[in-house]
Amino acid sequence: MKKLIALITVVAMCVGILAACGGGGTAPAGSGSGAAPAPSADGKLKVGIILYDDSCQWAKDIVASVKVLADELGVEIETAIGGTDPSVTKEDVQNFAAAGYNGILNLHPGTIMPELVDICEQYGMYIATSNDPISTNPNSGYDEIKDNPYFAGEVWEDESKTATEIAEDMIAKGAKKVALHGFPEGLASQMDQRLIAARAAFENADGVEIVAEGLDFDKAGAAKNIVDQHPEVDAIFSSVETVSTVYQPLNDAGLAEKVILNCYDPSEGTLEAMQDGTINYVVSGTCADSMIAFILLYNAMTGNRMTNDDGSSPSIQMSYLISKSPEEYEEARALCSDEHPPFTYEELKPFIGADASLADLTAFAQKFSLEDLKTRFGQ
Amino acid sequence: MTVKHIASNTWKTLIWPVAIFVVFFALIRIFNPSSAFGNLTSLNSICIQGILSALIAMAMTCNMLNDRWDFSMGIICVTTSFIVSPIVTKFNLGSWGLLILCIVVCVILCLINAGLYLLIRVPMLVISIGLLMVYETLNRVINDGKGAKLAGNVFTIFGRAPWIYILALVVFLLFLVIFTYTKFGYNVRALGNNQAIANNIGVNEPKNVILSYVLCGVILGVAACVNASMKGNIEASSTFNNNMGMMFTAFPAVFIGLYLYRYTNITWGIFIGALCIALMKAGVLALGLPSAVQDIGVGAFLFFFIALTTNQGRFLDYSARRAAMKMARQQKE
Amino acid sequence: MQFIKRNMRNILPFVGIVVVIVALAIISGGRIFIKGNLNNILDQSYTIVILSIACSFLYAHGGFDLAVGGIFGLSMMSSGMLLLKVGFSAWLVLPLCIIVSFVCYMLMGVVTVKLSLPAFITSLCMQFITRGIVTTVSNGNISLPKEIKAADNWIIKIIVLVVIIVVSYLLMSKTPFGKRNRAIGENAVAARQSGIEIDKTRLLAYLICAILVGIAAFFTMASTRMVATLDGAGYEMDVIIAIVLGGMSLNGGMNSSVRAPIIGAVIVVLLTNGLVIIGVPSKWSDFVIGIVFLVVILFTYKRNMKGLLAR
Repeated sequence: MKKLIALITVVAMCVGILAACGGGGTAPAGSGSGAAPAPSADGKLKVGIILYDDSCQWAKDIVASVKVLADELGVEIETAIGGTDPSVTKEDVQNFAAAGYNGILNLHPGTIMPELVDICEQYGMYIATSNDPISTNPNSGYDEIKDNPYFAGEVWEDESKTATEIAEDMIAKGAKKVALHGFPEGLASQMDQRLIAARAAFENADGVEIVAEGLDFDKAGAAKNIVDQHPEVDAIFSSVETVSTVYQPLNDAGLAEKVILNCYDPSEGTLEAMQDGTINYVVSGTCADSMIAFILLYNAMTGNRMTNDDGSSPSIQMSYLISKSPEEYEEARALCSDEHPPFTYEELKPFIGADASLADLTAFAQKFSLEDLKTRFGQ
Repeated sequence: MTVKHIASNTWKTLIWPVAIFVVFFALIRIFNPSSAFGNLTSLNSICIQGILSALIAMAMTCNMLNDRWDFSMGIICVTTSFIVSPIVTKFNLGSWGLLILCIVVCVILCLINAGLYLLIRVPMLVISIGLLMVYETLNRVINDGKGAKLAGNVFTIFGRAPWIYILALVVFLLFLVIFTYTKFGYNVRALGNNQAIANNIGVNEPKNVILSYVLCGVILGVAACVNASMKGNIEASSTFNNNMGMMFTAFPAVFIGLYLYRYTNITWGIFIGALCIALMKAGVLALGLPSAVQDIGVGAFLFFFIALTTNQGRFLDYSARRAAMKMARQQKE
Repeated sequence: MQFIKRNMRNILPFVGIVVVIVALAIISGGRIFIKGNLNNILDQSYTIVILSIACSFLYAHGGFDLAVGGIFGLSMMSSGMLLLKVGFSAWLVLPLCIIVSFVCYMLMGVVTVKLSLPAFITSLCMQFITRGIVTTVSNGNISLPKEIKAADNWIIKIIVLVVIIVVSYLLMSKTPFGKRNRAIGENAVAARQSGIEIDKTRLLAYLICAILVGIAAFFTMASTRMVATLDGAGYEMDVIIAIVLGGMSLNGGMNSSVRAPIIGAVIVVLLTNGLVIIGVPSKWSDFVIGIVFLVVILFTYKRNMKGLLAR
């Protein structure tokens, strides 16, 4: 009997698989023959946001900021965790597509965008990316997708420039023996670009030596090892959030005053860490990118896709907020965080719809800075 | 046990960390002489990291002596710090409050594991994988997904010398005494040697499981407290809080401990194992190699260590046979 | 009735999969059956089904495989990097993937079998080593040339999958090798005494596993057209989940089968996919899968209610 059951299983699996194959498995790219996205029961548009992780402050800022726009525009949003594994990102997009979503805001594009755009094309779904630069990543396949009508565009940060600026400032402050800290390269081009730029800046400077590279999935352990094995270090450049990783080891070793340290993305306790002098730079403001990317996506979903003059998808470069003092950081957080999104719906409304111009949106987005925030919110 | 015997056992145990230290120290003096590897601060830090791994390894060993493979240890440790950290911060309970609460929560979570095991009666490995997924979600929900935040507070005395050493010493002694001299310890070993016989001679296995998990919970609670104190801040995402990583780093210590069991007591063996791994990790970084090389090193070392210790008998047999043959040949001539 | 009673444990996983499908279909209003989604489910389960089948050969003889994710990642990374260096050809990738996987598994197998080490430890070491190598050598994600897309053809993939399933089924359940392999898992001492060459059989299981992992690596590369540092990370856990959900004992034995990993993997993928479609927030999907997992093992896993506690 068992044999019979086993045999039936195999046959059933084969039949099922073949049926699935016949069911659109070979849908050629560009045919758009897949199921058209069905708006949810109340006719709302639905957008899926793909994040590395949905529990950190970085993600909370982004989701809250985008939600302000989504609520005003009557769009439903849901998040998915793309992890750090591109095949999970792909599964997320497939599942959102099957669930009838109309758009994807991807904060984790890496090198898998051509695949994702293919899927979007099959389902008639739009995709925009934000934060992680794809046009400057030679491996991302940007050239293949930039003319695709389902790619709504990217909003990105010049990671190299930001990282170089911080590294050079560290050198100017007298850093001689420096260490790099963060995830191993290869997880996200965003973090890789930061490390590569900082490494280049340190190597090009006279008399500066990189004494250790603590790049490990166990970020806290890597930080502890850097501090304990290289107490001579006087600056640590990190490609990640450092309050939860480098802060404690530095303080335990009594090096907090001496070592210059940066931090990407806010977290609880960042302000205190700046005030007590452990962290000297904080890079924040990524939620502004996501809001602009959401506008691009919304326009595409409602049939008003914005394009460059040659018909290619927009690529808008924005700037981070680099805070070099606790006061600056406090101001930045007061005007750009989950509690106070960097743009209001009223400000972005002119860029929505058929008459909106990409040039205006780009100009508006590129103005983004702490000064701009202060002027706009009248402080 | 003669003095000679003790000396020989001590030598066989200590050779491993000493050898690793000497090799790395020599390499570092040649290739990266500016590194601090080998000075007091660096050794202190290596010991502290070794202690954390050893604590988790000991908690795992409580169950592994009886073949209960529990993959949820790492995540219980992390989940505990998420449950405890907001309470401790809110009521300002200080370091001792943190320690006691961690132990209480860990014991409760471990008892859930034990209860499910006795109820469902499938291998612990299987149950723990199901629990792993459940806890992963809880971590994102507890405390609004903010993880554990103790940074900048005064709660962290257990992450530094001298308290971490005192704490570790107490736990090590507790573990040693309980496993060597109590009835519970005898029962654990009896069950480990032969489950069926132990049950037949009247060992109450369910009771033993529960007690093992209580002990495991206490040790894991201490580990959770030390982990939270050392890091100050733990993220909720499983990609970043490294709960599986904690387990996988502790595994080598467990195995090394179990193999060194024949020369020394298990507590000391586990600590030596954990120390070896911590030494190697620090040594690789001090050499200026990429951190991922640590993993290659740890994997290769464990391979080598286990292969050598398991097959020691064979090597000895082989050399004894060669010696015997040589003697026989000489006699012939 | 007699038949059902006797085969309870074999039938239950099927009941499980049917319940999952029906429940998801009702809640989603049939959306999980839309044209493209079946394709998604197939795409998402493809790799994990092959990997689970591969590992079931090791688990069947009482082995353990914590290295599958690492070896899978290493064969992708090394063949991708090598071919990009020497000139890319899509069909050279497959043999390279298999060779890398073969070398890793044979190293692991020979050390495990010949030096009589526990498979858990050797595979843990292998996981450390392979993950370490992948992280060290990779400097960023590699995207592969478009030509590898030629292999991402559903007709080829389906044929390969069917062949793998049929051949594995025959190997596991019909051939003397399969019987011996499972007999070792049931009782190694008895197997040795009845004249089974344990070492040879176990090594053969490693060989089959190596080939299947290589094939899975190749089709994953073709499907995502890239190689990333964390490819395969955590797959060892996914494989264990699939095998257990399908109703197979992790200790191996005569009851081991190829159908268990297939059913298990499909249930996990169906759940992950279906939960998104019915609108469960992503952070809760692990929770639901965990609970389903615990409930399913309650009914399907070999339990011994009266006797000794299971280990």
